[in-house]
Amino acid sequence: MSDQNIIELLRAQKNEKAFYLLYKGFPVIRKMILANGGRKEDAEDMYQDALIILCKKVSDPSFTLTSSLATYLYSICRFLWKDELKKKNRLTQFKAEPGDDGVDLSEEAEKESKLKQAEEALKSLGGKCLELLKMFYYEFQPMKQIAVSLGFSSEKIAKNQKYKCIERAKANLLSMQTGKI
Amino acid sequence: MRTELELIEHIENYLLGKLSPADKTAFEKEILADPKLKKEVDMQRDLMEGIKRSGMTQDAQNAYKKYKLNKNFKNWGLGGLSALIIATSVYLLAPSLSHHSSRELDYTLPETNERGEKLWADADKYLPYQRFSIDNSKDTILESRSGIVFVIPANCFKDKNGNSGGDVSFEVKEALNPSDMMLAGLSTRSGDKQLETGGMFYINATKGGENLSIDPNNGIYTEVPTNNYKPGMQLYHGERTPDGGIDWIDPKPMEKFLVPVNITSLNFYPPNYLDSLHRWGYDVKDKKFTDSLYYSFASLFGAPPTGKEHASVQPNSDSIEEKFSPDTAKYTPNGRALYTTNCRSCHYLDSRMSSGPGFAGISKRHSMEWAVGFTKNNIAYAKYDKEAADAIKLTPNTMTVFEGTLTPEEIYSIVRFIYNEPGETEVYHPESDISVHGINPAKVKAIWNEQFNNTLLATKEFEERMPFIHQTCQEEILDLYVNNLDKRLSYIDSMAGNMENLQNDKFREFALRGDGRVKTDSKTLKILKRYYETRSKLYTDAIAKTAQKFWKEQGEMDQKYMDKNAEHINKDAVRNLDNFNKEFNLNLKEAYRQLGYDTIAPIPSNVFGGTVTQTGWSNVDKAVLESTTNRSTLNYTDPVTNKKAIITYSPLTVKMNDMASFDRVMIYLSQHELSSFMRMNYSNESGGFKENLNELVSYDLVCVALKKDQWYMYSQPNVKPGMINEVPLERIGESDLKKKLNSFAPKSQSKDMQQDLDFMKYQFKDEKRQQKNLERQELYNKTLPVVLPCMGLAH
Repeated sequence: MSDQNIIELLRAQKNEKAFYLLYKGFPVIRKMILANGGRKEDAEDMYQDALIILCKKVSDPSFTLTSSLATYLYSICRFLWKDELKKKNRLTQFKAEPGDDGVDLSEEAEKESKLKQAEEALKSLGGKCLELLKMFYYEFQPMKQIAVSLGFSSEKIAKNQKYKCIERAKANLLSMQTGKI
Repeated sequence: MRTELELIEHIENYLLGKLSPADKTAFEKEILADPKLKKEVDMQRDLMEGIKRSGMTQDAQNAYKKYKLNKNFKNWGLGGLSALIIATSVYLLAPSLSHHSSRELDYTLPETNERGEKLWADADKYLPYQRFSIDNSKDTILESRSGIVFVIPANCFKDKNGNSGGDVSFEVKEALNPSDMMLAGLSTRSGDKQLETGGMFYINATKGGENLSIDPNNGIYTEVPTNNYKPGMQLYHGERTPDGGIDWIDPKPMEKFLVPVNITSLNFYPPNYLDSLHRWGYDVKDKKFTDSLYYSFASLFGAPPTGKEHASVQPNSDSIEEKFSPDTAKYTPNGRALYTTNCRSCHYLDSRMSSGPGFAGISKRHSMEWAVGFTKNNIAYAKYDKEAADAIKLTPNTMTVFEGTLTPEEIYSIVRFIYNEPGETEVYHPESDISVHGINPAKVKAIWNEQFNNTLLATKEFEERMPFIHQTCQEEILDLYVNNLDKRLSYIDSMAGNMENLQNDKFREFALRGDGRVKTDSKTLKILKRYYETRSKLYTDAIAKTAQKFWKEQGEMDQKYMDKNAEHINKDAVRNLDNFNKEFNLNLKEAYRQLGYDTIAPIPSNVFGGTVTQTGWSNVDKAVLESTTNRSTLNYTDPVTNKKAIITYSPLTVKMNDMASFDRVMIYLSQHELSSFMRMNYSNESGGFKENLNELVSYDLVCVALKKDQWYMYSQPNVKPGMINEVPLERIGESDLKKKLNSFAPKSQSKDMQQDLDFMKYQFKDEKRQQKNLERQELYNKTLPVVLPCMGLAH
């Protein structure tokens, strides 16, 4: 499957399939992270984050790929891992490679960590809320269909429930941000 | 739908672009103007993006699962999951994604195998070569097609003359999945036994067509990928058999090298420590705080006390003073002991009622200085203090007057003890033997620093052991690890597993993992051992001294507070008495005047709400006394002459709506004719400060308030009875305040008022200090069972 195919899949929102193909590049990156002071779990997390960033980048129609997807993923991972080590004050474990400074994803990384916090706030909502929100905001299903799938007695009730879920999520997010639990 | 939900709907429509252009512009204006609204919108936007991200996270996780499932046969594994860190330069060769399928497969076999024999197995024939060209004068890391990683150190290959280095051709054959294995006729047999395989591989190195050998002291570190780590895996060597197969022999255990990390990034706290602090609302990211709280418990492991009493667990200022008092000849009262002797018979420390009430929750009912006064002489106190009068009524029994039996210091120490003790059941009996049973935090402090970087303590693997080491409550287990830094971690695990402790099984489990070592030279090890021993002791002593010094200082400040309070109460009492006398005299004089008596009976002095012992015009006196005491209107008719004496008292109420926003509020009435001032009291029923004004006196109203460090003031000369609904307080600097007070009244009066205010400020500040100490004590008490869970248990 060529790079172009994978890009097309990503742009067509067929993320899971695209990611599955991209996992072929994981072993190299895992070795790299292990060699730079990380563990297996770190590699898995980094790769997941990198795939998401890649997906968002590719979906931007103005984005052009100047190298292979594998190389680009590799440099995303290196940036993220270096950033991670910086945060944990373990930068001494990072071994520099030429080409490291060519990629600057600080803006993306910062946005992602903000969104990760939002993800955390959502996690504590519980299954039905998460499903409802995901169906509406990620899969773009119409409220009528969602009401039926989740067993709400009417579209109006489902809509109300959706707003209640968001209200709760906002409260969680606020308490996370102000540091009180 | 609720308005909150409607707002969310509106924001959603805005974020999804569903608003009409007019509505959109209007809403954006609103957002700009209202930061709270902006926050709501931002949060909702983040949440929307967050939902999308969690969708993508889900996709990635599903993809990973599928990938792992379909990846070649990785459910059996060998060990080796962490990379060895190479100091010198490194080559990284990796197969690129896009060339995966187009590599030419090379099956051609040379004439002789790696040993120079003309013997080839089926595996050799049916598995293709992967060849890598490397420079053996440098360290090299490379990865085979299936992901086996070879770490080839510099100069590990030797030719028949013993020379190394230079360009070497490194070849690999591998069979990691069942189809490859079957194709190659590889069996997972070792003699008669069936093996469970994590994969098989073949390597060889040649230079100029000549086979090289590997230096036995400088081997190639190999990592075979797995998703399931299984302990107990070993590395077998393959011997070709004449029938084309391979027999697996000579198993060697595999060592997993540990990767040292920065030790300060690891967590060596006792289990649940950070969680508990987090739950109680503390900032667990503040390492200074979490460290200092944890290490403070080292004081419990300090030197045994010199006095008779055993160490109590809490840093109670009494016992600390006694323990470490440099002048042991000086008598420092032991509050606990005195309580037990003098008070215990009538008062429990919990909420049970005995002859007298229990002391649980006493700090909420009475202040410490009240308790001191009451203990000294409860009967006298009750005569002029309402709080005491009520307290006496609690039981029909009479409480002993301790004045004269106990010195003030002794009474103070008892009160301090009572106020610091949480309740009867939690009192640690000084008679029982409490041995300190647990891991001394000072020992943890000694290892948890950069000195121990690059040892096996500075590994994530050791970090995994720490919670269990804590739970054994035995320092010998921690010592085991620290004193054997040159050994393999699994070896130390098995030693710990064989020692009698609460976590034997867990250590045996750890031992099975076969975790290896971190290379540290022996000289460094010796230094570290000595460092550990001496540092632990130094820290313990230092921490104990610091705690003692701190609580001693606090004890002194507590004493000062009680003294000042007592002084203040005295002053108040004196002033009240003085006021009373003066007012009484004034009223009496006026009453006599109204009744037409010229001579004035000798004025009784030091009348204090007591009985009148005068004869003569005692009726009038009694009436005036009552009226003065109650501050109520005198309306007396002389039964003989029918003349009347009327002295009116009228109420003045002062209300302040924002009283709660101030830390302290004091309202004074400066009394011209009496040359003194009185404080107005707050009355709940009227919701304000109330006092009855004597028509014979002219009053100035002075309101003073304190917010943090800022004074506020309002004054009204010649205030008349009635209602003042709002007090317009104005900020004022401290020196200006003093000047203004001076302008009100004769010097003595304003000085008194100033002193009153000074005391108020001091009291306010000190109460904050006391509150902090209380919280400190509470936190210490709460944390103790988490940090030292085995305390108080029999050894």
